[in-house]
Amino acid sequence: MKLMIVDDSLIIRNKINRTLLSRFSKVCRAENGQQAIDMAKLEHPNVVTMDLTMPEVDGVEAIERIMAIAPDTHILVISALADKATAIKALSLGANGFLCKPFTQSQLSSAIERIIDIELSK
Amino acid sequence: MFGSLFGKYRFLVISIALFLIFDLGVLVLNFYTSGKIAEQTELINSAARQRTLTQQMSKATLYIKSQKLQLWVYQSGLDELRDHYQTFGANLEAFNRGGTIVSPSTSLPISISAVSDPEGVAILSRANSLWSEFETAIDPLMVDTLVSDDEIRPASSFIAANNLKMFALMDELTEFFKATSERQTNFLRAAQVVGITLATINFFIILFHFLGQLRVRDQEIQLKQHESDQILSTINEGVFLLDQDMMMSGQHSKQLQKIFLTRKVSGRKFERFLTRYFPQKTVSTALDFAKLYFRDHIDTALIEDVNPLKRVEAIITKKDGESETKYLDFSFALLNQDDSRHVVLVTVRDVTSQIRLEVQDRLNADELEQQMMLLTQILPIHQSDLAAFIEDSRAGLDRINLLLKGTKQANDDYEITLTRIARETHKLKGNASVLNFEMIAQGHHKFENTLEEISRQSKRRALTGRDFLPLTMQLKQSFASLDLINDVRDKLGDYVNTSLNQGEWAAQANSLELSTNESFNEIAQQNPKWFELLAYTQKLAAQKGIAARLNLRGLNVPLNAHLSSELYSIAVQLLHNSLAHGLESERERLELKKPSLGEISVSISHDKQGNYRFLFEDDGRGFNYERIRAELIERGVLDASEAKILGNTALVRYAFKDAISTQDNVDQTAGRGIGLALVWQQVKALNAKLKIRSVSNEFTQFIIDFSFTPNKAGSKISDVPSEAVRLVS
Amino acid sequence: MSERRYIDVFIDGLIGYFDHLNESVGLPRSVINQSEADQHSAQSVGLELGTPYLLKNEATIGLDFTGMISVSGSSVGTVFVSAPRALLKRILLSHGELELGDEFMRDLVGEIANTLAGNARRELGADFHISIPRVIQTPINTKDYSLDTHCYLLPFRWRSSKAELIISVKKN
Repeated sequence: MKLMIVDDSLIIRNKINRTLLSRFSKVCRAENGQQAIDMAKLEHPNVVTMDLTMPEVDGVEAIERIMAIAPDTHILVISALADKATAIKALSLGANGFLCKPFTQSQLSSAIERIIDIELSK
Repeated sequence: MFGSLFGKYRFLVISIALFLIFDLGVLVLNFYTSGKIAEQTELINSAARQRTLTQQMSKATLYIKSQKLQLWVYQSGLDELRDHYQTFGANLEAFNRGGTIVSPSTSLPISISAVSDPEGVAILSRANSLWSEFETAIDPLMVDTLVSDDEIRPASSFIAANNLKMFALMDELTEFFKATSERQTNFLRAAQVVGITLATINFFIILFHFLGQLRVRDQEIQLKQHESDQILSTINEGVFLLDQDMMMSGQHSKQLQKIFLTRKVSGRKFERFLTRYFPQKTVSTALDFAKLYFRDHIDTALIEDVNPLKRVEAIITKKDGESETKYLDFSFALLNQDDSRHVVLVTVRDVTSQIRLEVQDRLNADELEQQMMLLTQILPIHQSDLAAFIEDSRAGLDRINLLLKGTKQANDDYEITLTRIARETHKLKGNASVLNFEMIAQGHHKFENTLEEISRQSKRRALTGRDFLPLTMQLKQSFASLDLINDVRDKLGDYVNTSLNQGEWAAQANSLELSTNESFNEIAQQNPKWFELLAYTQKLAAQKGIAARLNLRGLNVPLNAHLSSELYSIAVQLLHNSLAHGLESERERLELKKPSLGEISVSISHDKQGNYRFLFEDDGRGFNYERIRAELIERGVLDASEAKILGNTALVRYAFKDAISTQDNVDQTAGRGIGLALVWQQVKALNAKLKIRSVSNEFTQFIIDFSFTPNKAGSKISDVPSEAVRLVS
Repeated sequence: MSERRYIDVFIDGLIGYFDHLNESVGLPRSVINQSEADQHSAQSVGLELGTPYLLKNEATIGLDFTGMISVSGSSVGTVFVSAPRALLKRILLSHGELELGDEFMRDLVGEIANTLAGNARRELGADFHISIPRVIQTPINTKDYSLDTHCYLLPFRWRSSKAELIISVKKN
């Protein structure tokens, strides 16, 4: 399975990467929504962790566009709780779950497992 | 599908199937038997016609005979006889073997089957044998158009003799057919009665069975309803069900009415309901959130964090028209119903009192704690230190206020202001920490948080002056805190001995194993606050469980206030660093064959040409590159692979430059990661050069070279050349 | 009543006044919230707020004309709105007023204060008593009014004329 990490913070990207590296056969990273969309087209990740507030294209738009390309992508939104409405929008557009920053490694791992377990109809 | 049908409704299905089978059976039987009866009627008619034909044959024979006697034409009689004879023969043949006859009623050809009933066969066999005699007698009349007397006479006499016999036989046959028909009619009637009776019985069985079952179920439902009513009326939380169309279901708990002071709950639109208590934005967010529970792709365990109805403020209008503010907690849980449809169980808790208590607790605790802390924190501080501290801090706050006042309304300017204020604040915080003045340091810490928050906002949108309001308000708070400390100091002044004189300073310094080359007096006059570092070192070292000594040298050089305060602040940061990372514990030092007491030294020297050197060194571990590497990886600045290939110089540069912190564990002395970064910035701001020398397990040196022309006339802040304060951003 | 809310009410009132002013002369609404608000853009027609700072008690304050509102209730406070002739002149002109004498300017600064007071009455509710605003002689020494040790000075600018909103709050 392939994982794509989308976050504008290097620290967060590294933390997610460290936690999930062993779970996936390949991990790619994107710093903003546009990169995420481009990379999704190229790499077809099965699972995506998505930040919401990012420069250029934001997380919500990225989710919408990724779902249009590959509706069977499993997406975990990882964001701070500043704006619940945005998070809810992201979820209604196809993201499968939400993890609040800051998070522990075990919270992240179990959230990812739950996300993977959801059966998505194509 | 069928399994479940037969499972639950087996009885019903079987009963209805039986009902249909009975009805259908009667119908089929009816159809079949009426066919039979129709056929039988034809047979009866045919047999009756045979009867007639017998008479007509006799009549025709007599006619032919009498015409012939009078020598008249008998042709029509002969034709008639022949016709009747053939019809009778064909019919009789059909009765015997089955075949086609002409229907007496409709004159259409119909097919009949051979008579098989023994009684009928017996009658027919008698008729057959008689008929064969008829044939013998009549056959000669069938040959040609002329009938001789020899031919007619025996035929006539035979027919006359046997006519009635044949008539009787045919009559018997007719009666036989009639009887058969009647039997069939009776059978049909009986079958109908039986079928309808069975169907009726079946109907009543179904009826009673299901009426019984329905009654039981009704009772069960009533019981359940009663139970859930009981439950709903007793539970302490507001509970209701929400369906896919965002409608609130019929049942809800009594408490719900109490919370919202309304009875209008059942069957309402969730949106309408919420609109009465919450602002529109909350309502629409809440609605979007609730809808997520009905979406298949969502893991409901992973969306609780975004629930917008956690501890929300609801404005609830009371009967008298006054409104009341309540804090409510909504929680949502997905329920699967029998029919695989989903509903969401919504639980509402009134957490108003809990929140009020928390706020009250926090306030009370804050106030009390502040006062107590203030006392405990002021008491150990030397009076003159305290006065200097208050003065310094006020000056710092004034500078921040001036920065706010002087800010032009432009984004660039806002950012410069933020950076400058951050620097001032960090220095203030450093001063407070040195004096162990937790309360003030905390205030500055909060101030820094606010600064960071505004900086974050500036990245999202253009700032306006209004964004600085929280900062200004905290500034006012800081002034107030200082006033309070000043008040306390004034009052304490009466009880505590007047400030220690310089002699006592020296005594105190000696007790801290101070080793300085200069006379204390001189240093104390020039830069008295440096001495605070001696005690601060002891305090921090004790906290970290190490033994350390600070040496101060060359601090009697005349520096202006700005430079002195910058270098002081640099020294504080480096001191934190040495005590946190540089110096080893006593045991470690002994193992390394080092003196158990760690040495830190701070010195300033100059070449009398205006070139100054500030040196900070400790005899600790030296730069632990692996530790820096690990820390950079830990903080997520670098990948393990990236960090591995990075040279030592580059690593140190990272440690200094990257003010990156995970913010996971920010306390007042460390964690923001801006300590070394601040040193770096200050060095840059002073137009100075920073060199670092380090040997593992031997020492670390921070060397800051700068040039400065002493201004003997004074050392006020206003004299600081403007470029010295300019920040390199 | 938090200090923040108290201050916000008066700032909002001020923004409201100038928005209304723009509307009445057919100009777009305030741009402060998205303000690209840099000094040189002459297009910024709405109210621009500067960085608020503190004013020590015993300071001498006030531009040419000053309106004052006193607030009592669960918090006690005084609010001054102080404007120079230049700004008042612009406002009068935007009203189509050609008389630009001091009397008119005094009236106008009183009207601004009145608007702020009205807004505050509406927003702060029954727990507060808001005085009828009056126009006072400048310069003012804050010492003459029993103010808190520091008050907030919020500079603002309308069509490149600067003025000040000064707010003092004390908890009762």
